[in-house]
Formats: sequence, structure tokens, C-alpha cells
Amino acid sequence: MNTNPLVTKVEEITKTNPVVVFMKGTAQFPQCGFSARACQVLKASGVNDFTTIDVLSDDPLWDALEAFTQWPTVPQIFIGGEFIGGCDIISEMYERGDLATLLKDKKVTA
Amino acid sequence: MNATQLKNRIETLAAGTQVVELVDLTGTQDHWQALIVSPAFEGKTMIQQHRMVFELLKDEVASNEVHALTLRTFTPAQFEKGPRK
Repeated sequence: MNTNPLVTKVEEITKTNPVVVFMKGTAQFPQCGFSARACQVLKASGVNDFTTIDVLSDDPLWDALEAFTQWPTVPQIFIGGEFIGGCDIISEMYERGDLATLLKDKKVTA
Repeated sequence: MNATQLKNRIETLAAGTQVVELVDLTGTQDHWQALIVSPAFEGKTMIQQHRMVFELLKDEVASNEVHALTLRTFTPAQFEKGPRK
């Protein structure tokens, strides 16, 4: 078990929200092209309501996120409590049709 | 790390692994884009596939010799169906 309470918090956020994006900025005002693209891909997939966490303004949380996923870059997208990947992976999954399947499997979209 | 070194390293992943495409995005040999086909990707999520590749390059990534590597990963069956673009 990781003893950093922030890592526990990150895990809790991902488990209690269907779709979470840890990103730079917000969905309305992304502060990084990759974060913006991740949000666009979700919207294009019919996910109108998703949770965004701005790590740009919260260094300790960013560190905790990295510790939790062992993944060095943001954005990081979680669906149904599972770490899916960053901008590249979510875009590729969207293009292959795998994202739509996953969202249905996780009951995020009908 | 030059293209040949990078390609050879990635292809140590498993027998039958092929780097189908390798692009030096910036001409500085540290920002790469690779399209990889491997039977080892079978049954793995995309994040697991990417982790497998980055594991092979962890020293170079840690030292920043490889600063960025954009991956597109396919199983042979997926690649057969044809990646778009």
C-alpha cells in the first residue's frame, strides 16, 4: 500500500467517477494541446459529462498521480476506474472504434 | 539513439516484432514516432502494450536520450485489417 494520502485520494477520484481526466487546465480552458485533444475525443464519443482534475495548479497531486499510475505524462484518462492512457492512446482507440466499445462496456454511454 | 538502434531495441520485445514505421519527428533523433506490430501485444490493453515498449527503453527515456516516443501498436491480426492513415 502506498502511504501517501494523496495517492489514496487519486485512487478514490478514479473509482467514484465514471470518466476522469487528469489534465493541464480544464475542459473549458485546457492549457495543453494534448489535454484539449483528450477532452475533444471524449466529447466526440458522446461523453458529455466527465470529471476533470487540473494538475497544473496542484504539484503534489500531480506527483501522486504519477506514483499511482507509474505513467510520466498528462493527460491521463480513467474510464470505469481503469487507467486507459493518455492522448495518443485515447485517440487511437477512438479511431479503431475501441473507445466506443469500452464506454458501452463500462455503461458510460448507451 | 539512431533509427537503427531504436528499431533493433524495440524488435527485441519478442520474436516476430516489427517496427513497420519509424519517424524522426524533429530531425534530432530524440523525438520519435513508431508503428509497431508484435504478437506479444495479443490480449494486452493499449496501455500495457505501450508500457512493454517503454520498458525496453527506460534507460534512454530516463537519460532523456529519447525525449518523446509516440507509439501506435498493433497485433498482427489488427495490422492485417489495416491501420488507417
